[in-house]
Amino acid sequence: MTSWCGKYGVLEMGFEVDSSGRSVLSHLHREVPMVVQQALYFDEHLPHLPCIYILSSGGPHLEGDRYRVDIRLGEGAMAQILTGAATIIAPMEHSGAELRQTITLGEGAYLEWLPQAIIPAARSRYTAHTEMVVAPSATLFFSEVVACGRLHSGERFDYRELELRESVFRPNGSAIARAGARIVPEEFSPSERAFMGSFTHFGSIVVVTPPEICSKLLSLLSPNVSEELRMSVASLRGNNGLSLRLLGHSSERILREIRDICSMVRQEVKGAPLQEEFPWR
Amino acid sequence: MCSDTSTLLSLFRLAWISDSALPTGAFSFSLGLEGAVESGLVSDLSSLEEYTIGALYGAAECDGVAMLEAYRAIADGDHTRVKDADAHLLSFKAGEEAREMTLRMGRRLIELIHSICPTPLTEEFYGEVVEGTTAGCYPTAQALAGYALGIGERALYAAHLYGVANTILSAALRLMRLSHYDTQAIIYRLSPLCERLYDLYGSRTMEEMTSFIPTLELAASLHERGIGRLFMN
Repeated sequence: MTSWCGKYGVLEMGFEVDSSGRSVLSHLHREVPMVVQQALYFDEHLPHLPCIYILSSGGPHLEGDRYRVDIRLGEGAMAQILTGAATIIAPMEHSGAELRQTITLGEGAYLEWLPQAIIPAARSRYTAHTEMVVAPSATLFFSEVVACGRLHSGERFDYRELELRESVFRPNGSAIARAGARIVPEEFSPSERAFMGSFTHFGSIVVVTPPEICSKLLSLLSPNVSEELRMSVASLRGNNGLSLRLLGHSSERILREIRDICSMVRQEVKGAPLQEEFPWR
Repeated sequence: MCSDTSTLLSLFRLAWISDSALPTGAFSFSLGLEGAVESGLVSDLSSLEEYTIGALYGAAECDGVAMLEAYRAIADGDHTRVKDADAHLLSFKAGEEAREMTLRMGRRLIELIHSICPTPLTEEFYGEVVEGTTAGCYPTAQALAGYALGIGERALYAAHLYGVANTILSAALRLMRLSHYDTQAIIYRLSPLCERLYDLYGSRTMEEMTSFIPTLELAASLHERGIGRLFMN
């Protein structure tokens, strides 16, 4: 690793099914500023689902910050992971902030990954690489939302660089899908019509799931081309999942759509919808 | 390599493989334009030009990176790297029609080049594509063809981008009320973009490959579900 100064946050979480059949957070290792509350079982529709809020006690991501997250779900385990608030990437002068995360799902495991938005401030640089290893019978719902900046301060694509990269593999190492977005507003403006046009926020969803569930989801989901929200729906190779891209005018609108789609996925996999979002969120 | 690398010969061959008459089936694809026109995302010359610009950026940061990697690997004699680039690119393709386009055109080009100008590499690659052990994406096939024909990588890159623009604009003539003069003027205005795209993305590695063209992704997605079926994507 190149030399850096800044915070180095580490979070490792492992989930397993205990003897009573309930999924539990069986391994937790964290280094500040990563903070995790205890597993909460608040979902009325799926009472054995541990829900975890990831928090950061160090405020926004600053220049030089590095974060490493490793999530593992054993055979048949399930979990929902959320963030407590939006992730702000603070203004920077020289380098950037970086997140590297790995998500590993064993056979029959089920994970919902529902973070709040990333907000890259003016002059910030941020890189997030996510590697997912998903067993053939498992289902992973992965999502992310990115704002154009701190809108209340008048920022609109004033960041320097944003790179989000995802790769999905099977446990034997074969690649299912890769995706990557690198936005450098100085190189091209995301406001060009072929990119985001007048939209200010984008979201991405990757669903990895067995082919029969994927086919059902494809029949339920349709592309959206409205003024309020745009959404593309594409299958992954071999019908091993879906890739969706969303454009909207606010984080809230995209997050709401993401929850609706997550609910649809959960209904197909677990036979229950997602619980209504808390009114204070 | 069966080629003479003299400039006139390589230019002649560049013109040949860039021609829309090359039987790769490019005419049956619209790169999502059919869905874009049907949904109103593209409705006039200005939006068509912006759509084409988006497609060129998308090609440069994704297919173009794979094509250059494959070309350089061929030049280094590293066949494993060529196949890795091919597999990596296919894993980047979301959407059935996008995969179908690159695989169908890729196979046709490999077959054509191997039948006209066989080399040990085209023989190996074509054999594996027929067996199904290698995917054979179009950019990889372009790299094989370009190298076999003695075309330099920058010239091949320009041919690749020209092919993208020409596919969309040829489709536009059948989907929109435009004249040939309109589409040729767009090609002329966009031509300086190929130098800029090569400078921006020409040295990227496979690990740095990206793809962020939401409007084109949406258009492709609409086409997969749409009723307009003049084109295959």
